[in-house]
Amino acid sequence: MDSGENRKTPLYEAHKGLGAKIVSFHGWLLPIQYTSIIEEHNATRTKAGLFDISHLGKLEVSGKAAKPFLQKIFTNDIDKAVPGRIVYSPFCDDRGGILDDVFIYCAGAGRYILIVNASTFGKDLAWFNSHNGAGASIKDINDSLGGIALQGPASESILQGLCEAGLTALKHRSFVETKVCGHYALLSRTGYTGEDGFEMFVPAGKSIEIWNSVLSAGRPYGLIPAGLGSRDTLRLEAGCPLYGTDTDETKTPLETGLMWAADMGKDFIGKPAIAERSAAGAKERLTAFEMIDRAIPRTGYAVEKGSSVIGTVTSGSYSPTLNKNIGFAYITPGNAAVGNAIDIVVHSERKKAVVVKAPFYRRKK
Amino acid sequence: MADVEKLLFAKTHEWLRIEGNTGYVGISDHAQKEITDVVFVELPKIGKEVAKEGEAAVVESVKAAFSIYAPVSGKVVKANSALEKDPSIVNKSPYDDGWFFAIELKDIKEADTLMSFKDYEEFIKSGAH
Repeated sequence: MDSGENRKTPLYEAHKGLGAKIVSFHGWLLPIQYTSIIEEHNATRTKAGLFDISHLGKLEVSGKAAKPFLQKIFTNDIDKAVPGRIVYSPFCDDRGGILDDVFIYCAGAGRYILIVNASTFGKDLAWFNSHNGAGASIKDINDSLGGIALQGPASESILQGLCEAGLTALKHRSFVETKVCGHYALLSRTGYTGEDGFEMFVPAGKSIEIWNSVLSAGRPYGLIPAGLGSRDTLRLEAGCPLYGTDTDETKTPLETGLMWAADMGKDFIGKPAIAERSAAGAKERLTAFEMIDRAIPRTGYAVEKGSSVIGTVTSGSYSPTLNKNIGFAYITPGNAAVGNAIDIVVHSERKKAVVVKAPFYRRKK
Repeated sequence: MADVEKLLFAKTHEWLRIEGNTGYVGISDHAQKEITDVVFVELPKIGKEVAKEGEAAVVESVKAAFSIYAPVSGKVVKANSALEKDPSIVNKSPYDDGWFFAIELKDIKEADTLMSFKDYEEFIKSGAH
């Protein structure tokens, strides 16, 4: 991982066999698309898409000290992570700067699985180890597991026939340790697309077998493999910030809009700094907008109002579902109200946009 | 299907089809595949003077924006507004319905530096692009 060379996920050969266009993504060789980002996006919204998420970092934290350790590190309340439940939480440095956002699975008393971003895995592990005064056991389980996400309205129908656990009873942000295609799977009802769906972490050596079985079972439902390109457009429509793009250590949960995942009633690293900023008021907020003029906003474009620069675009794309051009930008709080007219500077020209409420897309239940 | 043998190609992957004193411009099949799903096209205004190898249009995929350069100099006399309504035409029909704009040629000799289809295919294979 730290060698600077690109690593292959356990599913790499499957992607090659499917004719994927492979790119380097934070040190991993992953498919950006198989046939078309838009086709893969639309299939996930209307039927189902199958994603390789093996690059996500996986850690196991256990022992009597596990919970006190996690409570000190993470902003969210770890008591919410009862066995079988998943808690989302950022963690911060002393200045309140977000170091990563993480899914914390409680697999029983004193046993937690952490799913972290690929881009931050090494840094996260070093941070955890250097702040582990409590003496929790922290184990890197990255190489033992591959990851597969099945996303879209047909997901449950496709997976049920291959899975031991009853899926109807598995609620959103819950997980079960079960068998898929006869092999161990850490299976959760979670995702990064705004659709119903599942994420499963399975033995690395069985990953291709499971991938192929899910793909075969799903073909009659319209399932197709989907790459990072559609993963990005799907998550943006669903209003999910991407770590490293929409937030990083220069922002606190206050600016990124993650205070709902920060329990200010407990102690954690960065809390005093966040409380101080909160009292003073945020200087910028992550804000959703859509274009009115014909133009696509991109990362780094300036946001203007009148004669002032009021912010910067962090994510932007054409939205296949909405057939609009949408984005996220950090802008001054006074300009962040829904309906506020703003300009985005696209190829040196000011283009009209308007602040909207996130998410851009919400699935019909 | 256009006869690709009648097209001339720039190293920046645009093609030029000369009809009398007018040159139609589009992008190659190779380019549309590399760009992937085209979701936005910004065309030059009619009457705009474009210079050989100067930026004349913008094409954007889901992931990124790309400049389209004029393969020869001249005045823009037509723009294919169908691409603004349905940019995916560029992917579906790069050599026919997917043309971007037409220019009144300033100097037809400028086309001499462009490649034939066969040379362009060699150029792509060589990986020099």
